[in-house]
Amino acid sequence: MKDHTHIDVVLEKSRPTMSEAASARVWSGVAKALLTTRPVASPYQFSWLPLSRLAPIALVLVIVFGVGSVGTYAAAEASKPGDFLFPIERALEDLRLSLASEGSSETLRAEFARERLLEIQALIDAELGRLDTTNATTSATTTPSVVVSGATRTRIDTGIDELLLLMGGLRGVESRDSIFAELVNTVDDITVREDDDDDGYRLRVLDDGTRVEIRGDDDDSRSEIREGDSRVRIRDKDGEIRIDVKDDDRDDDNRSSSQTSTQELINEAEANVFTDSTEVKVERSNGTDITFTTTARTRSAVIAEIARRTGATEAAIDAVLDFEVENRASRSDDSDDSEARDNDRDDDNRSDDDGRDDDNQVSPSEGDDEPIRRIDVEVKRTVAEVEVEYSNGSKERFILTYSTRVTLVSDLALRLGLTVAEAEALLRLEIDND
Amino acid sequence: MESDDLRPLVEKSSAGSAEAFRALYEHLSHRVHAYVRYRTGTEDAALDCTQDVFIALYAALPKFTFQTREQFYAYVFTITKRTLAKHYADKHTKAALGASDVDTDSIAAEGTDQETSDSVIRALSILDEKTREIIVLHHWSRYTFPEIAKLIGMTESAVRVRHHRGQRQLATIITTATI
Repeated sequence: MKDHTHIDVVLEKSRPTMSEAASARVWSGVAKALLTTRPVASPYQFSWLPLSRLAPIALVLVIVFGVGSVGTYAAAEASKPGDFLFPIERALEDLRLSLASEGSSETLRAEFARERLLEIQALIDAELGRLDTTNATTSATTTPSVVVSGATRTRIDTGIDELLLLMGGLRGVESRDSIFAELVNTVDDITVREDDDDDGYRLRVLDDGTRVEIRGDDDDSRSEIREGDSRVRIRDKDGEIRIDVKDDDRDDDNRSSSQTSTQELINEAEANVFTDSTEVKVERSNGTDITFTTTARTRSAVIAEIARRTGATEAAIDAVLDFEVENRASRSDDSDDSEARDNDRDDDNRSDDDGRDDDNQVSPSEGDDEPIRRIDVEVKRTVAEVEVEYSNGSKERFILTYSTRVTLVSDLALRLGLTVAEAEALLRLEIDND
Repeated sequence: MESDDLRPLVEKSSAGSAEAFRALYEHLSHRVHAYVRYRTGTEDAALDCTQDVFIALYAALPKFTFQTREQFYAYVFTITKRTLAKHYADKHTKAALGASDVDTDSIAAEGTDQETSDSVIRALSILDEKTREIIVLHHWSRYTFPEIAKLIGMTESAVRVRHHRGQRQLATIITTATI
């Protein structure tokens, strides 16, 4: 026992210690690394990476030709988004598509898209069956009272992803339109039950004939797919999947066709809630726009206000309203032009049309109005000097305090109205050591 | 520091807070350093390794879900061992390339009793690896027995038994050596 006490003392005496100075030195090395380290990304909800497609295809080849199990094939065929075998079903379809001729691939795509639709409906039906407390008369043809769980929502998202991908390859406008219409019918206004999120959110679909938007209120993911010569563009931004379809024959008779019932009065509405006031812009289908400022700060209050001014129903407004909370005071020049948005997105030569007098300081209002070409950040100690360059050549500079790469990126995203992924992609980081 | 205090630090760090990570560093750095110091030849190498451990930890935190304090320590310990392995691999590569990187320093860090340290190091090297690990983790890195159990994947009682035996062995070795 005496030995043990002795040995404790001996061990204590020889314990390696790090001096204050050494510890501080090590930390400064760590702190420097924090500036550039990009931690492992959080799970990404929409995975559209084409590469991830290849793995299931390979798996299918193994299963179909290696094992040759017809049962697996059949089971996969019957799977729904989120099921274990769903990737196999998708891969089987890809396989069939890649083997199909030009003409039949179009038919196949449409067929697969409809399958996806049915699966989404089945998911919703299953959910309704489970929640027999909800409106029993509600079936897959959705009414606004459909409530789904977060898990189902994720599966529906997956289904929609796949559906949109398939549709991106469709050439025929008619089949695309009719599938859109069905999709709108199916998923529009589904309410997602609050599981762990603080705010409930909904899936909403907006279809104005040239573009479909499907959005949940809280998503933060983005991806962009171009098909062919960028005639069809699918993007997912702030939880908003947007498909821009550019058809030559449509650019002329500008969106006269295929309005859904929710937009008889209003094409688009946009509310920006600033710290001091809320700016609202409403675009009516007869071509007249209304812009006003209100003190309403919540979504429902803004909707009520728009309804009062335009006479549209609240549901219709709700379906088209783009509601954004900006963490700053309102800007003086709100030069947003939603109508031009669709067509101008690709043109980088959008000039400063409305005589902005502060030439080099374009307010970064909606990041998606004036695309940001790149973000340069130069870090000196804990201060980050940011230079934002817009596609029209204008620049903006500001200073951020800065301790880790993660906080820098999220600050930038917040400030510029981008998603984290976008900010990350545009970011060029330069660390000035000492 | 209680487990309840570690959780928010881990979560905030993983969300990118440098402040929270600094606090984690303060809490862990001496434990990590003491262990790393015993495994590396020089103090410089130990400091380098310690730094690398924390950089690796920061990058890996988003993948980690905090459950218990022991589980978190074990996670850090895994990263530490991986970093050490990389360190050794680098050293081997260097040696193969002909660069001389012989560690002549003894293990004693600044401010420790050189002679005592030397004899302890010699004595420790006689112990079997598991036992040595337990002694180092307990006395130098100041982990409790339940924590060590989680770190090296043994039951707590097995750790205690080995520790007790190790102490006795060390005492014998050191006593006979000094006579």
